[in-house]
Amino acid sequence: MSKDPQSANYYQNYPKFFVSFLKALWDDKATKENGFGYHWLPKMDDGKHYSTMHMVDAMYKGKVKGYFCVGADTAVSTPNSNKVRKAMENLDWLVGENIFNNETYEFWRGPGVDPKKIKTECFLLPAAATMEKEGSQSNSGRWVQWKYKAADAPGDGLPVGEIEIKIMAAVKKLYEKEGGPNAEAIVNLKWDYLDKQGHYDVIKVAKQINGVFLEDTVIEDKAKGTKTEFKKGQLVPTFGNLQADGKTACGNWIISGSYTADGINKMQSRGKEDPTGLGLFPNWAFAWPVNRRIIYNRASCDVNGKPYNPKRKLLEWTGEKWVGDVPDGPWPPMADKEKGKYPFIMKTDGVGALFGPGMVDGPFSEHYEPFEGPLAKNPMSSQLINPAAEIFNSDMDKLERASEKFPYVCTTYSCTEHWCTGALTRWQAWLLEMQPELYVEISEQLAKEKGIQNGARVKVSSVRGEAPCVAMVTKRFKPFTVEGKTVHQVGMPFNYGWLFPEDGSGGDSTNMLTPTAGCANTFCPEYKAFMVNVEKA
Amino acid sequence: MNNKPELVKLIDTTLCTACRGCQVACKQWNEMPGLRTRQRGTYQNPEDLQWNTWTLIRFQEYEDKDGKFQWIFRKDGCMHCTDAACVKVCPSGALHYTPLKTVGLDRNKCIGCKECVAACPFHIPRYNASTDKVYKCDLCYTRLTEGLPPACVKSCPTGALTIGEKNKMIKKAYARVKQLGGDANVYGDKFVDGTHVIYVLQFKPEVYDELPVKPSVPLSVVIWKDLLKPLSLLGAGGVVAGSFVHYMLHGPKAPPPEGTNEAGKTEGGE
Repeated sequence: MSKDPQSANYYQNYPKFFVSFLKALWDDKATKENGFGYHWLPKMDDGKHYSTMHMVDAMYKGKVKGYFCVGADTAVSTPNSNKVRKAMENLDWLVGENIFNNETYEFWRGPGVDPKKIKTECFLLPAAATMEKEGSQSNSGRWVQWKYKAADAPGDGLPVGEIEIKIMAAVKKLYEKEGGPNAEAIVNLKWDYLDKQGHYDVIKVAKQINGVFLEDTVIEDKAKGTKTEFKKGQLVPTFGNLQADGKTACGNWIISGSYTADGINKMQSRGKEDPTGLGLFPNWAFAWPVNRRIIYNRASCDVNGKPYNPKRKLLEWTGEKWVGDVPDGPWPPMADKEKGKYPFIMKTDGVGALFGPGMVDGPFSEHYEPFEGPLAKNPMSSQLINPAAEIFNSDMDKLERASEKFPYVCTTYSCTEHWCTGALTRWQAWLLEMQPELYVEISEQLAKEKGIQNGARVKVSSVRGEAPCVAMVTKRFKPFTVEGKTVHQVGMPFNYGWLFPEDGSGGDSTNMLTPTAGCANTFCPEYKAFMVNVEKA
Repeated sequence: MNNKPELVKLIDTTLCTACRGCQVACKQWNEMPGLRTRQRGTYQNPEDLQWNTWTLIRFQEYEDKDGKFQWIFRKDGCMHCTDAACVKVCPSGALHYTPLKTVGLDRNKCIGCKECVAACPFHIPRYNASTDKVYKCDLCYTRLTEGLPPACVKSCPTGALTIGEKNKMIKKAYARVKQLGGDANVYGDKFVDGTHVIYVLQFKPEVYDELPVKPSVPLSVVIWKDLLKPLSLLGAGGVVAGSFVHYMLHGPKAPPPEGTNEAGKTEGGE
């Protein structure tokens, strides 16, 4: 909390959001006396991280015994695929939910794996594709758009939401009968999201996420001098109405207001008006929070509330109120020292920041070499790699820095024709026809040096694994001169796996080569630079 | 139908990102299968136009005389000539001018003679031995008559593909060329009485793979179809003349031995 009276300190409202969330989970079982069930929630340990790389590492060390892999292909997508696939052998069970089978769900019969030796029990549950289910879809512009079901899923396919609700309902039943660790959290769960036909009630879930009054409630607005009455069961109009005393339940406060108190699903809005002319389309779908199209929008105005750019008026203070986009808070502009508030209301100090608490490095930019790079010494400083980055050190996390055995820098990317691991797109004949198999792009200079012809089969290897593929000799890759030496770079897509095409002609994951290393803050894996060798196959 | 304006599809190669949405959309709309291919050391796949591939993005790595590199993308496909060699040589009437002046192909009438394959100056029609028919783009005729753009144009996210009234599109092409400057040029409006697919090219036509610099209806086709054939119909002597001209027709340009690709298995490198 900031003591600056002009900071909105918006997170002072956090208890309202959090208690409402707990009430959404446990309803009347969450009481003031039991702390609204806070102690039932699983907690993250201090100093521990929970990224995919950490999960796989824990699996490899035998600490994670069960794995729900929903809409993902971890055996292809995650760094150091050999380690990932080995880690899965330590699982007691694996549940896949997807519209296609993939290399993760079939790890027990993958290349070099003897199925007889795998103890893991594997399940694959067929899921409905996006056009085969109704619900909301959020984009990176924070629009939550409702979409409709166009067709039934083939065979036994169900929406993933329905699969989860049914599994959890069965788990709950089992816990009620047999008990088990942390049983209260499960047996007390509010879990009535199936309709009368026994299917996923998507509207009910949407309303629970929006938030609902659990008791008749009178909300007093002291500033406006008004009192509004809400009935038990009525949907909350916005998160401003959420209560810290357990009178409201809300699955996710930022989505509050997407389903109005009058029962209108604003996510279904399809108005094409654009009054600002800036492409905000305020009546199309719902933008979280409170249909605000640009967050911190008051920062586009000066201290008097006048837009910095009068030609692009996002919103403006008329002297009485804000007109335009939904303002980030109703307060007058900053020039009003008494009532005015800073625009960055979710930040403690209310102002924008280049650096803030929670980051393990910074604030100034610094050059570090990749975790595994061509240099033994950083030419810019005495620190070779980011000292804040976590180092994974299992016996499969090998490294060959500045090595003659693996002299080329490899970078990975996607091709246009496939989506990520290709687990969805490799089954599509039109796409596979255009991009049928794994390739490595190399410069004409490196091709000449290694005697590699365009289109020839080659073996790309790192200290962690191998990726046989086809050489694409191209002018688009050029050697670099680094510290007076020629350094070659090669590039590979990562869209292939052994399971499909069935004849294995697509090759396997490029992540056989990549190291378990990543960003010190986000653990986004370092797929973009590591060391390999390229040889004629 | 006859009152419909003459349409031209403009391919602005300078706006193409080679996403190949058009290549897929074409197959989807025309219900053509995707065939198994191999990686041959290029993004271009399939290797060439083929019976199931009526439009193809050609990928070309180009360095100008100063060593400046550019990755060139060109969408290849039927040019829909006003004076179309394929229509001229087609003995069954399968290839025809539509009321929109585009070149249609009625596959029910096609007898698989491959005359069009040999005659087309752009090397567009492709033969499938398993069906004994020829295939090519019809500019999505059934979409055009419903007022819809061809599938390729509909799929294009960058505006590289547009379609509209002939004069407007030609004007648009020249305006773009003027804006681009340098070697930029309009390709298609000046030969075979004008094509209904025109390009804005960034470089001179000779820079591009598989693009004829001066396309024309082959002389043999002109002599046979426009001059001798009418004469030959006058009498039995025409049979002799016909045999002679048939030799002339096939002598200089034989159909490529590509009728074997129905399985689509183009193994190995280039």
